[in-house]
Amino acid sequence: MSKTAVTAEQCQTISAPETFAGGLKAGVPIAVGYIPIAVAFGLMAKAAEIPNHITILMSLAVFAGVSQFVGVGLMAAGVAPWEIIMTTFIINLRHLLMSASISRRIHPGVSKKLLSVLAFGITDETFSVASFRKERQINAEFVLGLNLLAFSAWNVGTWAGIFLATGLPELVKSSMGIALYAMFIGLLVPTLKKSAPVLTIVLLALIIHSVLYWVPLFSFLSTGWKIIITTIVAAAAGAAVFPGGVGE
Amino acid sequence: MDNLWLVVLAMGAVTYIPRMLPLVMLNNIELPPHINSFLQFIPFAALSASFSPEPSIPPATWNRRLRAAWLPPRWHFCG
Repeated sequence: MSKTAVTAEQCQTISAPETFAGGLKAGVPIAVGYIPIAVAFGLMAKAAEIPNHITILMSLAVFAGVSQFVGVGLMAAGVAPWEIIMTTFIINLRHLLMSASISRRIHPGVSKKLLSVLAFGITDETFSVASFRKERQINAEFVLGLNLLAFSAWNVGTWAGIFLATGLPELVKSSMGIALYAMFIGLLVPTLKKSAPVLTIVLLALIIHSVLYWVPLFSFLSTGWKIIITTIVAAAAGAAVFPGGVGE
Repeated sequence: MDNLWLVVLAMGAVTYIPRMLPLVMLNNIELPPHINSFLQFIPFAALSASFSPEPSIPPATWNRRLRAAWLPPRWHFCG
């Protein structure tokens, strides 16, 4: 999911009680942040001529913003299914860390069934709200409420985006390609401004991707593999130089 | 393209597995800091890679495309 700034709201959310309702309440700032991004996702998918049911299913089944934007872009570019799935896996692998961190703080008595439901809702934002809680142990009901509201907002936003795009005049639809770049800037710039490592990685990825495009030696690589290779090389080089991570 | 259904379901599966395994196994795996920051950087690198304007299109063409998208239709016939 994108790096929406939730820090300002975290002060409020910390005080929400450890109940399902408290989780819903703590999820409000996330929901407010998700809706515009999800609307943009719906618009973009529609502009890329992805069938509505595919876009809706993606928000229901994947629920991870960055990978959905990238996935829709790759689908529109006609990239092979395996490359799309592989790229999605790589982009979302980071949730492993968040899941591991939450596992340390969730009540040990929680059933595996409930845990497997909670796991579905782990995103950058729900994770950061849940892990900023004062209490050492996080209540499962709280996380359920938090994730449910975030998930609902993401899906409602997606439908709204598709619906809006359907009503747009042809001229506006044809300029949606530009909105893609605006979206890219909107997703990245807030973090870029705060994090020198992220700025470096973004520039590095742009350079590597351009090299893969321009140098004839790499012309055998498909679009999907160029993105996978760029992602891994840029993130690995970044990690070698900045072991401290994003470090906002 | 009916196989888009399957692609999206597979995208969902490969996203869910890393989310689910540590939590359900109650396994607090500790990864070295380099791996940690590698995983953190991935979405940024992937976004830049996939939204970088295709460099195979010469910048001049790209600008013309941008203008064509922004300007009202009648302007197209002036240039």
